[in-house]
Amino acid sequence: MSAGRATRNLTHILSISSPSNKASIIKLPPLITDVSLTFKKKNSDGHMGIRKFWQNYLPTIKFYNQSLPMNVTRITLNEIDTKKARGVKDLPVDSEEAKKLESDIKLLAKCPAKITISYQGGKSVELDCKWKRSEIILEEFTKLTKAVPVAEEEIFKFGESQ
Amino acid sequence: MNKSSISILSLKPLSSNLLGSRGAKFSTSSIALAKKAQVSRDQLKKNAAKALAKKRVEAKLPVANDPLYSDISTALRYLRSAEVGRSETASTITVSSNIVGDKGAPPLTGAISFPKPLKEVRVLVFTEDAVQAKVAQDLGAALVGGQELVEQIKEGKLGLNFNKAFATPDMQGQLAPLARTLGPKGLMPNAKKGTMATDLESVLKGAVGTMPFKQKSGLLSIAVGRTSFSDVEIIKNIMAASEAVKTATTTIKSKRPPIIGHTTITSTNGPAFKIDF
Repeated sequence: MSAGRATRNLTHILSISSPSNKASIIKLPPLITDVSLTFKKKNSDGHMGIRKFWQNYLPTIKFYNQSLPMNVTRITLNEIDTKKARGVKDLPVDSEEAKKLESDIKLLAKCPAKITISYQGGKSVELDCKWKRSEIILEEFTKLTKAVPVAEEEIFKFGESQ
Repeated sequence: MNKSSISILSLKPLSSNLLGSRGAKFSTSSIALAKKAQVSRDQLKKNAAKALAKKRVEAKLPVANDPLYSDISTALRYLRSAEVGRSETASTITVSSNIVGDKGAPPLTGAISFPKPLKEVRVLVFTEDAVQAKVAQDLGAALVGGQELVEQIKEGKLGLNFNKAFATPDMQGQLAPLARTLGPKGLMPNAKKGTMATDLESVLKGAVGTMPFKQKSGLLSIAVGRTSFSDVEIIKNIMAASEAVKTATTTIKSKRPPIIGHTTITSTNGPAFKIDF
């Protein structure tokens, strides 16, 4: 294995277990039974922050909460997205197609970007993540779930414990 | 008079020199080039031998000294975290080994019977013999047929979502036109490979429920599980893979058996870890 690849691998490993942003090294309360994320595949309509939250922070949260199921649902509305990119203005005003596209765009904007936290006994809480940066989502998620930071001595240090 | 004779005399050697140098230039350049090419070819051979020797030494080094070395359960904890939120089919756990074999040695091939298979192994059987067809169906072949199957494949009506294909020798002539379709997928029955036999029972028994593997350019990659599998299930699968690979190294037709080098465990989107294999 070349040195470049080994370094890249180590960086990836350390970014999961001991990232530079310690805020994501948290332990969730045992009452929580499931964490589900729902957002669009495309970034538009304020869905970028939650996608970044999934990419940057969720692996670390999963690493310190191994037994907790975490699901991610990414909604694809490709057809509408491409039509939206093309723009309504290209279509003749008041045409059937333009009206349909406008209603589709409104529907797309309604697509939620949320985190659903399920508790024992069937109770569940939702955290709206639209138009929020990933750091803010992490902060709000920690506050809402009453998660506690993992103690310094419990933080897994790759290569030292073996 | 004197002067002119001197000039003539001096010209002669000059012209001969010019011709000589020109001639020499033409003749030596090709020789010089040829020699250079010969030297570099020798050097290339030496370099290749050196690289192979280095690879053999590296393959024998203890894996525990590697900075990426980890026990399997820790590696799986990381891989599960890296694959969080991905669909099950998009997060396969793979074990890859460096195989250092002799120059020109055949690739390492074999079959693994996993305690917890990743997916169902679908077997396709071509036969016109009713008895053999019955045997194949009893042994769990996904699809059994004769000429009508050949026609369906020719017309592209049959989706080739199979892992293995077998046939009885009576189908050999009819299968020949399908070589271009079945061949690239590794589904072409062949007596040399042992996938064409008069008695299908013996060959099918070892084939149903096993996963084939083949070395590709010095690397042997085997999918051993999904992130949803438990640690025990994945470790059992890795052990089965290890056993099958080690058996394959002993049966290979080569002067020296190939060396199994460092082994890495990784997932589709995860980092890689060196493990004991």
